[in-house]
Amino acid sequence: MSAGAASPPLSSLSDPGVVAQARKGSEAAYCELLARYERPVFSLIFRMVRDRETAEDLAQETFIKVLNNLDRYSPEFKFSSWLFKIANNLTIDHLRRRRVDTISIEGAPDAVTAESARATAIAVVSAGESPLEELESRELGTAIERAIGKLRPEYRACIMLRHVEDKSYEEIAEIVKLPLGTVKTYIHRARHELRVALGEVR
Amino acid sequence: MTDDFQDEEFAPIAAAMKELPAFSPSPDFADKVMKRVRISGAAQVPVARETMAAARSYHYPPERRVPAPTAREDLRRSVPARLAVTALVTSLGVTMTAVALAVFFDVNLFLLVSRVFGASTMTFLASLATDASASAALTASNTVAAAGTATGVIAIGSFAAGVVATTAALRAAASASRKAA
Repeated sequence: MSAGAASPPLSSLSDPGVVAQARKGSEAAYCELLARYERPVFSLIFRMVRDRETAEDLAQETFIKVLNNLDRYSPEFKFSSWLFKIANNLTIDHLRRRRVDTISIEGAPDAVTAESARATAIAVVSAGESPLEELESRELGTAIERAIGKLRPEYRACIMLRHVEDKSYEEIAEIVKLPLGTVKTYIHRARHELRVALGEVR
Repeated sequence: MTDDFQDEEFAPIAAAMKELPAFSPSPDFADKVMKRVRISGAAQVPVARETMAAARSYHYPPERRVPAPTAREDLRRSVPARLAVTALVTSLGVTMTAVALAVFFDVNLFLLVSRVFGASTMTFLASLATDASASAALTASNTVAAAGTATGVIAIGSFAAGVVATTAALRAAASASRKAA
């Protein structure tokens, strides 16, 4: 390859390719990784802790930890699994410290005023639907968010990784550092609890 | 995957979960993260040619040099002085060692001296002490004549006390060594 050959755009590279560029000292590659995963990671953490400020802090901590330790990343594993694993560990640690087991979709558990509760509430909206469909969708989405918020943190992480992030059972087991059987059990129980909770909505 | 959709009751919930919106962090999230990230390998990135040229053309100001430290001359003592110091240190060391050993092993020094050097040595030491006390008394009377009554009384008193104590100690030691013998 000649020195002047243009390298492919970072957006066309796979995760290991971008990580390789980052390891060479490309700041743009760091930004690309951040752009790819800031929303999924933040969403996962936000759904776990239901507090925007806390979720931002935990997401920041996750990315700083990951990006400062790219040398430790082994390309034989999926980058996203490694990233979610660190995000999940930090979030579970946080929840254990705070002992926040059940949370409300109407706002963060530590929201003391109506305004702060509104600010921390999860608003579920979908674009491109008729007003009635949107209303139904919003109702179901809000009900799902509420039901997810009432699950145990371990069930919550597993069910979201399975059905929101579309991870395989094996990946989830790796992320949450639990045996495959335990993950399947958690997901089964979480589904049962969601079904019961959403029974009257549907 | 199949076990996900064996549960038909859950299928619509699973579909709705896939449609749940993703949340965005605050707009300055990436900046906050990047401020605290160390770009690995940044030091190995080749420096631009212009930067290198600018670096070469820069003339450093002359350094302010501090004179190099010079070796201190060896201040050696004269041979007699060194001999005197060595003798003093050696005798002090021997004395201290002997005292330490005597204290440690609870040795009677007078008995030891009489055993090593014979009973005549103790007699000699006792007569030496008597002579010393006589000469001290003479010195004291001379001091009284020279310095006046009050000072003389103090000097005589101290000399007398010293002489009496020394004589008593030597006699007691001599008698003890004789008894032991």
